[in-house]
This record gives sequence, structure tokens and C-alpha cells, in this order.
Amino acid sequence: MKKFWFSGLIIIGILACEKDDICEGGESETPNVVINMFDGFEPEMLKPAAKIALIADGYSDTIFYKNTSNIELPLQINTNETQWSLLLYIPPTISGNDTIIKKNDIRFIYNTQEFYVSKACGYKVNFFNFNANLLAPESTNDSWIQNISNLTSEITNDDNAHIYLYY
Amino acid sequence: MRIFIFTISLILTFTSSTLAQDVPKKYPEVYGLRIGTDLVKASKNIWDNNYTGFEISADYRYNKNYYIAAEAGFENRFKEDDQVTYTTSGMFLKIGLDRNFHQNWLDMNNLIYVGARYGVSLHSQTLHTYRVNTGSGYFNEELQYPELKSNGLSAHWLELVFGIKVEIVDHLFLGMNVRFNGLLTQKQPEGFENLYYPGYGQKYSGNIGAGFGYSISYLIPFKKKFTNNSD
Repeated sequence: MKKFWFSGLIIIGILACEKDDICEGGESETPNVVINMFDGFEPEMLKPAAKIALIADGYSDTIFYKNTSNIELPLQINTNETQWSLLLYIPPTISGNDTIIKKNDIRFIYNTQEFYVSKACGYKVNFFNFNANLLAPESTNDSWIQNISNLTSEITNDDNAHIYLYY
Repeated sequence: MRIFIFTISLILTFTSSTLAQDVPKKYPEVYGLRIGTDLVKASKNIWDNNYTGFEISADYRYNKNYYIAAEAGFENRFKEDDQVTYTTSGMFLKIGLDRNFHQNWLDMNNLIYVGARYGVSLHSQTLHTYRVNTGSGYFNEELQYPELKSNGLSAHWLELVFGIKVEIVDHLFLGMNVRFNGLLTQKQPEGFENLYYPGYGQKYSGNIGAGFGYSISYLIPFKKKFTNNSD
């Protein structure tokens, strides 16, 4: 009988251990907009950019990507609209001269939906009615993006691309 | 002195039970209602600014070994976690049985008991702030201030209690107990979860919780029974 109580106590003790105080990330994080970049002339080919800078409208922090065809943009969770400037750096090896910077703006319009994930992870936001628009450039000389295509109207994870970008 | 004798009697019951059987037992066993409070909850009002709470406990001796036991009280607790800050407020009631396993010496009236309870809480939970997990933190707008109050929440659970109660002076008892809780059902707030239940304590990932308490209680004697129990 005493052994029974004792082993019962140990089992309860193990079950009662706290294991939920670490957030594992991944699916519990608010997703970003994932953009895959393709060659405008050969739309089947992923085309890595030497350097890309991303700046949100109204903000000054810059996110840089180097030698990749896959970029991610966070969305604002307190409004239904976020506008990003995408700056492409064309290095001298290609332009033949100095580094050339070209710029396009993309506006994302969406609705947000919040979920409680856990005590450790807090909340997560999913986006639906999502739409992305390439804004008309101020001058065609500065523009580098030919076209974008929306793949989905819902953003719930960042496992796959949501937008294909052609340049 | 009584505690000393109690300790000695404890050691003796575990080492030799044959000795105790030789002693003739003609001492009365006291039956009555014991009323007390949990000292942990009471003292927390003083040392924890984020807590107010109180618990009244009572047990009634049903027969030689069994006591009908109950606890009731209220708790109001503010908690600041990494991702959420919230206040839980409400009352609780626990009803069950204690079984005394201690064989008393002479006229002593101490308990080493194992008990079971059915617990119910009725509470509200207010979500003060929460953080949206954005990963990047680029927009620096993760912290939200909803001040969202969810009323009419509840929980039902079973409790396993292990404890002792020692009579330190006539009719006054000091106690110590450890509790293990298993959650049965609950009513959760919308878009959030119950992280604390009055009377149950902190909710962890599973449906199992644990706690401890120190109690002080006073026995109102109703009657004395003389039994010649040689078991």
C-alpha cells in the first residue's frame, strides 16, 4: 500500500512538471509575406538578387537580403494596410559602372485575425482577404519589378511563397 | 511537549506496532467540528501586493477514522507573464473526505491523513496586456492593451490531499498539507485561456496541478467517545 502511494506521487510529480514555458516558434509566430523572385524573361527560373533592401512606408529601419531569391516582409497588425519599398542594388559587375539602386513600392491590403497560442508564445495574427498591388513607379527608369502575382488570399504560415515577383 | 510526544509516537508506530497493542486504551476520542484557515493564503495578502485571498476550512469527524472536510474562499490574483498580464478573481468550494491513518497515543488527537476533494471555482479573468508573436518585431507594435474581462468562468477538479494536523494546545491545531489536482472540466474565456483558478492554483500545460498549505484550526468538541479499540 505504501509503495502504491509512493509510486503514485512520483507519477503525479512527473506529470505536473512545467513544460509549457518555452515557445517553440515556427507555426506559433505571426507569418510574414513570402516572395519568390523569378526572371522576367524566363518565368520558370528563380533569379537571386545580389542585394535587396526593404523599408516599410513611414518607418526607417531597413531589412537587407543578399544573394537570395526568397524574401520575407512583415505586415502591420494594427492596421489593414502596409506599404513596402523594395530597393534592388545592381552591382557594378552587371551595370558596368557604379552600383545602381532601383525602387518599387508594393501595397498590401488585408484583414487581421488574432489567435491565442499559449502562455509562452502569446498571440498570433493571421491575415485574410490578402491582396498585393505593385504601385505605379514614379519614373520607369527607377523601376525594376516587371510584375507580381498573388498566389493566395490567406497568410497563415510562411512555409511557402505567397507572391511571385518577376524582374 | 505535545509535538515531541507526537513525534515519538510516530516513530514508534512505524518501528514497533506490537508495543502499542499492549497498552490499554481507555482515553476518550473527541468528536466535533474543526474550523480553520490556510496560513499561506492569509500571509500572502501581506507579502504579495498582487494577491488578496482567504480560505476557511472545516472538518467534521464522522467516525473513528473518517472526517467530512470542506474548504471555501476567494482569491484575487494579478500575474505578469512574459507574453500576457492578467487578473483572476473568484471564489471556490471544495468538499470531500479525510481518512486518518494515525493511531493516537493516550489522549492525543493528531492526524496523519489522506483526503479527497471535489473542487469547484467560479471566477472571472481580465486580460490586461498581451504580446503578439511577430518574430521580426519590425513594427514594434506587438504589445496590445485590450483590458478584456471574461465573466462566468468555472472549473471542476478532483484533489488528492496528504497532510498532518497536530494539536499544539488544547483544541488548537497546526497543519501541513500537500495537494495534487486533476482538472475535470472548465469554462474558458474566449480568445484566451484559464491560467489560474481560485482554490486550484496555477494551471500548467497538462490537466494536473500541485500545491501546499499550512493551516491553523480550532476544534469545537461536541462529544467524547470512550472506545476500547485493540484493533
